Amino acid sequence: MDFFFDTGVFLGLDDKDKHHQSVNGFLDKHPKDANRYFSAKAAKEELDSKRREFTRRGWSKAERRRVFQIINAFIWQYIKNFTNYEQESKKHPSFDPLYRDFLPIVEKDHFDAAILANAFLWSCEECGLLSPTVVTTDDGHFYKPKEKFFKIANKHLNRAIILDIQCVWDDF
Amino acid sequence: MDFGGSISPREKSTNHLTTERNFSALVLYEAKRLFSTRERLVIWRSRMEKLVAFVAENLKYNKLTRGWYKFGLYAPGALSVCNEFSNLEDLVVPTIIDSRELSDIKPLIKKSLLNFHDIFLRPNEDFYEWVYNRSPKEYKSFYFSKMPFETHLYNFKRYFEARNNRELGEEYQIEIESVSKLYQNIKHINDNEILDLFHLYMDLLEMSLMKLKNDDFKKIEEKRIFLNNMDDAYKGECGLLELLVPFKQTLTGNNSEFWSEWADERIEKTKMSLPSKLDDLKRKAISLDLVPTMRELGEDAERLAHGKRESLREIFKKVDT
Repeated sequence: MDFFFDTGVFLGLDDKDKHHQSVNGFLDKHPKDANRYFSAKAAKEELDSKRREFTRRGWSKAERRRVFQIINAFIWQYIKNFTNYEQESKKHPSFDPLYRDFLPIVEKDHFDAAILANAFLWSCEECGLLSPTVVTTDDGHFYKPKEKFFKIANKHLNRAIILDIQCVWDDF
Repeated sequence: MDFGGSISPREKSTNHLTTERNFSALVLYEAKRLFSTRERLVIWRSRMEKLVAFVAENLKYNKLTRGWYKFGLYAPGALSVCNEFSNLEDLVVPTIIDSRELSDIKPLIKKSLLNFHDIFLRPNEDFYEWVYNRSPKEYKSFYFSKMPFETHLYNFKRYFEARNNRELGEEYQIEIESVSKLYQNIKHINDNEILDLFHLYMDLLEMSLMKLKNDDFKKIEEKRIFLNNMDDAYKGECGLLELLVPFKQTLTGNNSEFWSEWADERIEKTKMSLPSKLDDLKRKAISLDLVPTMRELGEDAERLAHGKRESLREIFKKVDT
């Protein structure tokens, strides 16, 4: 299968995280050797922006730096690609409409809206995907309103959407 | 009478640079007369340049532009003179344009040099402590946190080369603490790109030191080269340090605009070249097995936190509120 991670999945790599067991269980069940992991540049940017804020506030203790290093080691080894359909020079024409309409549903969290817009475009643009699925730890922003996202995506993309959205703890 | 308006900015800069070179040459000439032969041999290029910069600072001489750079007060105009020689003994005084103004301040220069004489003969640690103590208040903690970071990195390299396992372990711990200090003292950095490069560099450094502290010393030569390359990516040409120093913010002198543009060019060049340098170093670290596994990183996080650690997600929430 092909999975698209939201930022919360990366945070779940931290063994103190409340979703750590679920993320570990997911990775055991869907190992990298038999599956492919993707994410959005916006997810990486969200992690980086929080990290900058840590440093600016003087919160970057050694043990916290190790956790960021764990996440980056995971990204380095396992993430096949970070999609970036909002990239200035080659922005996808449907990115802005998707992003704009997703934004109020995710309570104006611009990272979440960008990750979701990327996920829908990825499911349409990337060749040879096998059961493309967004994996999230955020049921409030990603999972519960998913029917709304599909309606918006159908309107803007005007094609059959093969994407699914699942919480990391779900059995799929 | 001021003829400044009638010449082009380029000519103006060239004139400034000539003035900077003349002042530097005069200070060094007077210093050569003051220091003994034995002393002159230990006043190397970087101290020669600092001597000129501090004399200018002491006299509030604005025709030599200076700012706070990688290792303290720095006058690039003076370095262009010092670069031609390896130490003060080696100095051959270039022709100094006979200027009334310079003749007038010569006694003051001599007086300043006398004040600095003993200080400039101090061993490195004492000398740099004196230098960094003179940095502007808002950057003092930065300079005083980078100093132990550099010292312990140097010590770590030395113990590694000596295959001294016990000292390596201790030095690793101290170095990690000095990395934390440095993290707390770069609050003057606002540029996101620079902060990201800082994180990239420090992550790679911390991870490789974590592996090297328990090293089997196989491929020691390659690892030694790797450490030297890390050092170069920090303080060498287009290294990380270039991006951390407050040179532009602290520029003083009549030619500040020129040297500010010079600094901008260096910063842009560093931002362009450092990412690929770090990428190459990361590949090298992987090939030398110097990148810890996620499990090893997790164990180290646990050890460092003594079991008392909040999840990143919890701390992220505090950032958002």
